[in-house]
Amino acid sequence: MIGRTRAVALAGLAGHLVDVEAHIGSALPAFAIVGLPDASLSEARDRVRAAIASSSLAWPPRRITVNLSPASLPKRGASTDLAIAIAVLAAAATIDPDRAARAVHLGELGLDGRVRPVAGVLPAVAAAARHGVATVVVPAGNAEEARLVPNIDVLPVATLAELAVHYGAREAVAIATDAVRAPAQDRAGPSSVDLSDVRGQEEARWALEVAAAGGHHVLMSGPPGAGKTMLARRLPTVLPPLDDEDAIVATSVHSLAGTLDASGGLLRTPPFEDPHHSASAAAIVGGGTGLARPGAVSRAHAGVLFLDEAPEFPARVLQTLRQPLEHGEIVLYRAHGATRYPARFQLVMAANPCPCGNFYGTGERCVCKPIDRRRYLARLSGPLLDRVDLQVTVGPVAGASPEAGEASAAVAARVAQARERAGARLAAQGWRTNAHVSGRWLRRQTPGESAEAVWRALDRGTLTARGADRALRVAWTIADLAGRDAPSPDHVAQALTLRSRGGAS
Amino acid sequence: MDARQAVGAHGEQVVARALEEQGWEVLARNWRCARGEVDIIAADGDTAVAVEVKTRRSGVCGSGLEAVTPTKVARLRVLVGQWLATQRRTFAAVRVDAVAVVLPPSGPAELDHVRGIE
Repeated sequence: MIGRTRAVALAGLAGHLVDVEAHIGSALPAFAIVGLPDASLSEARDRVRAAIASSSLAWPPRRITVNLSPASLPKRGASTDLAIAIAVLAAAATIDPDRAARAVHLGELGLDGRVRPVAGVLPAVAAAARHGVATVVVPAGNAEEARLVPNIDVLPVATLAELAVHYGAREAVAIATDAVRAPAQDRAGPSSVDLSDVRGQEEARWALEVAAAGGHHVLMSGPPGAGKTMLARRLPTVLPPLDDEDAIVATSVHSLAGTLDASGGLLRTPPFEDPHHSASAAAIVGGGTGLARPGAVSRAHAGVLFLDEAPEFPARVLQTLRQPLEHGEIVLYRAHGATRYPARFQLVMAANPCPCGNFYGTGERCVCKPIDRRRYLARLSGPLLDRVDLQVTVGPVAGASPEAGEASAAVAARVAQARERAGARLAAQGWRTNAHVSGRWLRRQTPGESAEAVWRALDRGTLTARGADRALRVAWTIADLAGRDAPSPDHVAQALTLRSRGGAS
Repeated sequence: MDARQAVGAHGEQVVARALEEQGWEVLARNWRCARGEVDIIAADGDTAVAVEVKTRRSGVCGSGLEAVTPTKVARLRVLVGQWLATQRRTFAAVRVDAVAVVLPPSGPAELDHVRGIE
């Protein structure tokens, strides 16, 4: 007497179909789960048993062995509960074994027999669809999320009893029938903020527009209260919405991280992550025992990673950003294997000019020792700053009541146009935005008379070779925003002023 | 004998009769020695079988089979060995079985027989 069905095991965002087999052997009652389960999956034994009893279904008084195959693949979490229960019921012939075997089952079981929502439904259902599965059974609380995947039938269930009856069980009765909702995600909607909230700060707003148009990483330095955080939070409102590919990947990451509110469909607004500077390296890049879970860099995929008070982050944490900045993904190695998560984000850092925050203008209010000031910004390592094209100073707000600025929508329209122009130019090279362009391409394609100012600065020693590349990159973005095919000398001059941070290269 | 023991004795009686109907030969009932007691010892062909009987009046608290612990099974093995030592007859094999009996207030008893437990 063997019952079979299928489930999905996730390793990172990659889903693998898992065959769940239950065998009822003629021996004293026992229940064993084999096939590399983790601790929470082993606890499925007690949940499945209680859920079946609570659904008024008979528990076979025999030795039951559940095998999760392939045995070499690590499985974890409670999302295989439902598949285990269905395999046991199929083995006991309580339900129709053939119908149960065809579908993929995802869901955690409550002791009362209700099917609880689980994380990672979107990538799991997508994996099932990719393997040609026709039907997937998901918790009612995850139905909206599962329906985002095309080409697969979604059967949402609220209780185990309901599903058992669907598969032909006769006496199944649920003791509680209301569906468990997915926990509502508390998300400060980017729609609630707008660039028009920022008063004054014309220069910084312009830098933000350029950053959005070219996908450039930004460092804003300035005194506390100048509006650096406010500006950074509004970057997602001027970025173009995610395209299909990015939306699916970003939504999958958030589904896995348990931070997805699926009622809004696929994630279309670029995500915004702002980890606090006390965050550990594991929180930023992803971590966990056995197999790692996505961290802030992956949740910010296709969106913005904002590091407020960037110099306050431990150097070790900042160093971990180099791999994702370079490759657009992060590979995490743990005892049970390597996990790959996407991590292509736009980095926005804010920093005070010195530990006390008052070293701006003439710097007379600053109480820091010169050595402290130097050490403070030196915490942002060279290799990290090398990748930050825009390094701007945000001064204190001047004047009594500066005018309200332009709204996000107007800026976003210009950004979208500029991105389209850049995308058309760079598509042949496989780049999306100016931020990805290589130095070689820049030196070849930038008109000679425009680039002259940069070569002069290089000769004078006020600009390093890498600094020159960054200035040219930004110049191309400014040209895109102006609707030109190539940067003019004026655009290059503007680009040079946008990397004005304290003479740094 | 209290009610609980009476239920147990009745269950054993039901099982013994059922085994005989299957063609088994019941060799001993409630055989005991210093180490404990075996409910039924029977011959299934040329196999000696120690049978542990667990009787319940309903299935509310689960199957009686769940009350047969690994310790109990180990003890039954020892006991059946001791019993064999007292016999002249020889057997080709030795086995331990468990039978769960549900005795509802009315209607026939339900038997659940598991062979070769370990």
